[in-house]
Amino acid sequence: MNGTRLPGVSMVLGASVTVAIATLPLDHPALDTFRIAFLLLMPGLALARLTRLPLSPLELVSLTLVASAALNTLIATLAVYADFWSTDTIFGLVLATTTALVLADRSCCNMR
Amino acid sequence: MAIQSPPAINDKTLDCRRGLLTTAVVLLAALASWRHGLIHTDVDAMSDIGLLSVLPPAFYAGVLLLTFSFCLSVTRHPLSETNLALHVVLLIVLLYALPMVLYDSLRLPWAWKHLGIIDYILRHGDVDPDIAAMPAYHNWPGFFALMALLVELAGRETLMTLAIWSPLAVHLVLIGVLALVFRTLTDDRQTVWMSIWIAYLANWVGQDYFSPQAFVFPLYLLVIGLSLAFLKPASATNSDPQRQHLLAAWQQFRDGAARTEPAPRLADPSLWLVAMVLAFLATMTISHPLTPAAMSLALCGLYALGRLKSIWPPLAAIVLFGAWLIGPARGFMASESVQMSQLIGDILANAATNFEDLTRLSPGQAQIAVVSRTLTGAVLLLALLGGITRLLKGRLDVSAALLVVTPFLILIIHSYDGEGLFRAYLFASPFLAFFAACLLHQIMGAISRALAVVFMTALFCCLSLGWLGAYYGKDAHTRTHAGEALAFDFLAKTAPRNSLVVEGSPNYPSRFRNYDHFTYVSIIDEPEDSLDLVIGDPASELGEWLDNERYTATYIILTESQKAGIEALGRLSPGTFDRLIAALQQSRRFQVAFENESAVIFILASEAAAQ
Repeated sequence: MNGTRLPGVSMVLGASVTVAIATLPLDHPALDTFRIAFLLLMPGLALARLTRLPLSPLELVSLTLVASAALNTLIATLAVYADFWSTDTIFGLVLATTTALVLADRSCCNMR
Repeated sequence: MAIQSPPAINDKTLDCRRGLLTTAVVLLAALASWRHGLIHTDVDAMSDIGLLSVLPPAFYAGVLLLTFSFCLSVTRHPLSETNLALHVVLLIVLLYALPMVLYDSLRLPWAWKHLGIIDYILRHGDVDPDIAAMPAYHNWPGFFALMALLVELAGRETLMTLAIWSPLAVHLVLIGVLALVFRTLTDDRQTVWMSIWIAYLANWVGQDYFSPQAFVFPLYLLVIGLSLAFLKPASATNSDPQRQHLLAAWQQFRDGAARTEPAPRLADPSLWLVAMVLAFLATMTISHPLTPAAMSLALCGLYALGRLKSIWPPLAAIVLFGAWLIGPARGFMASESVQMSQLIGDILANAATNFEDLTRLSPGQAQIAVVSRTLTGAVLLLALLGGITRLLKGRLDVSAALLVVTPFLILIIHSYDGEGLFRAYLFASPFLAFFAACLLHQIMGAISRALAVVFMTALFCCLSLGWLGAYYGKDAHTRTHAGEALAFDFLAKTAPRNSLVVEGSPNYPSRFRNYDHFTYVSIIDEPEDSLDLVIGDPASELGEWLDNERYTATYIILTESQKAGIEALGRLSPGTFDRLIAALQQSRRFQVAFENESAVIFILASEAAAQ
């Protein structure tokens, strides 16, 4: 089975920067919606892209959603145990993780 | 310059477009019939056999039309995977969206408790592993932490919506996961899609509600799928006839595949695959106590049979699970160790703990139990025949067979509060579905397409009917009512900390707000002699229970779902629960603090006067 092409690094980076702007302390429901969309999609997408797995679109969607949920869960649980529960902090950590994955992806591309 | 004529549209493309258009029309018709049926469904008229008793013919017509269309599509050459995926999506909507359309409240009383843990995290920002009430959730808080994060971002009011729609979301995510798992077991796409269809019809055990187990189930399957697809030895491909003896596979793994793999480079994507699988294993470990055990067993089995090229997946699963048990969850494990030591090894007792005695059940519930067992038996039989057929064709299907067996090994260790057998079936069901699909694939090859479509439609409709009975058969007492939730909400908001809440049974929406403020006592779970005293003289006995200075305030909450559950499971004779309520209403010792059409809350009259 042929793999599905994932969005490029620039797209992931662009989305990360956009969301980084969205994390500014502005009080608007749209920003929260944006944050949720980011949490549900971007970490998993960045990780899935790094693996370069030959997946069908259907498999890729599932993998992205599950991987995002897994990474968010790990960070949110860390916040619960390490006593730093705050959506801003957790979101910041998820954002940092996603950015690290995107940078790793760039590094992989360059090495090739 | 000659004018070039536009390129002719390929016949295949035209066929494909026509096929998709036809499918869209048929699926819309099925959806319309389903929706029309639900408009005319009166859930309050539900009998003892649950939702099955009130679903109108239009609903069944929708399911029949969808099933027939799927069977036509899956027997067509070439296969249109988009077409088949649309069918599966609609199957999920038709089967799993019923509660969202029909009920006014979150289905299943035990789902409400999970809202309580999220509420706890939102109030405290942490968990308390040593808490007295529902400690397991505080020791495996992964799922709740994630949901708390989403709810805090989206607003508290979205929690209920999230909980109500979560089964549908889980099943939609599962489509891609199942597709990945099945394609590692066979190259035949027809079998893959039939396996997916059967997997949904075989999974009747209802572990897909808003819960940690539903959250980690896709992770479990995904780790298996990724392992079988990308972490297998070079020799283990789908197209292998797999005729070699197990020992030969083992030797091949030991001597060949494992040693010839090149060392990974830093930029190697396989390293990130390792990272992803580790993240999935870690998420499972912190979210649910049973799934990591099943995962460890499955990965160990796959490694032992040479289906994995490296030992790290099973090793990582065991190390992470063990580390969690002796680390963050050690207090909980210490408190459970006595009970666990008694259960270890008693596989039959562990398996039979939650089997209902049919003679005690109400007639409707006895029928539903028979339907559930028949459906399970049918799936097992189809799978067995499928396995034998594959074997006769020279295919061993070691991985799939192993993944059917390993979940049941959990029963050696624990009964899991009587649910171990059902959870094991849940983990095994996709692989049972695979073998059943293999059988159908063989049958389809031996008969004409028209006959195959008729046969499969009939079989799938029977399975769907069995699924509806098994899955929604207890809804007369497990659907919950908005009025009950309002009653507990009243209690949660008005009762002071350290209150005693006496309930008919835990079968009602409860513990979803401030759950840690109260001590709960369930009347029906009392020892028999104590229960007899309550039934004999409710006002006097319960008056003594409530007149207790250890608590700041005391309450009795009795609801419609409690009554329905107690009577359906044969715990009390019909009418007893109503007599209990009447006795409290007539007694001067009690006063009604809250009442609506579904619930009533009593307090002591003396306490009411003091307030």
